[in-house]
Amino acid sequence: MRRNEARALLQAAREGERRAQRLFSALLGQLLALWGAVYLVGYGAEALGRGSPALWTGLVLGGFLLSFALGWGQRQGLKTPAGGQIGRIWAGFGLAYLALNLAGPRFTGGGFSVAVNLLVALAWMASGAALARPAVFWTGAVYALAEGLFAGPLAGGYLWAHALLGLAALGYGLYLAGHGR
Amino acid sequence: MDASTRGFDPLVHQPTRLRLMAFLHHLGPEARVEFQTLRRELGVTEGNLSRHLAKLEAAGYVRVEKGFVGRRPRTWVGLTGRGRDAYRAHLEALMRLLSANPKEER
Repeated sequence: MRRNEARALLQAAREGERRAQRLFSALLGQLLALWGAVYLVGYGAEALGRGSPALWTGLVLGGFLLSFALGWGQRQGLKTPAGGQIGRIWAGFGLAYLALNLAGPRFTGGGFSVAVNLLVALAWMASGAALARPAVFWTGAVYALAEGLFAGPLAGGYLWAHALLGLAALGYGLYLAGHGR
Repeated sequence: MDASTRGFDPLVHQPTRLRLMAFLHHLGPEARVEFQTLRRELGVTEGNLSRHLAKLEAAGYVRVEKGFVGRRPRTWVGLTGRGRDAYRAHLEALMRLLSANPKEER
């Protein structure tokens, strides 16, 4: 066999790997775009003084329903142990979110938003560990750190920071879903 | 068999099968892909994919499971441990070939 043929075959193998990666990235991108849009609209409305509990309830409920529908759709074509773990992690997050809602301000005081966002960061880190993707893990860790900063010393920029974060997640999610990298 | 062809597997060598095994290998151990998803992602016809899968299954490289979701038949495909080893060995053989005899293609 000539080297040219070997090179072409290696490229065929890399192409197969890229397509598998695209399958993973498509769902990640869709979820990022979805929750980016939720953050952008929810926190953006609050920053502009137009937020309301009803808006948040609609956004979060819609977000959860669409997320589980996307996860269900993915499982029709692909089943992996990591996928099962991711499903359990985010179902756990959903339960914790529900518990926080039921406990209400008695438990979280004025820090409901911070508590939820720290849970999101934790779920991202756990997802990164399950997928063995350090970039996802560290995104969660950096997000937890940023949440702490904007909840504490930089509290004045909390709402705008989250709206911008939502915009970034929406953009990157659409890019991932479209290009599948 | 000399050192340069060790691990070389004629069954894995065919480009579509190599791409298919690369795809399944990259999804990780115990991953299973539904037939139509696999067909769509690899851009091959049903008949083409079925033929390649039959050869790989006969060699014990892939596991094909048939089942139903409701009334709809579904076929799930996964790489076996033997298939993973064969794919890796073949990939290593290709890379060895590329790194050896750089003057050959001139």
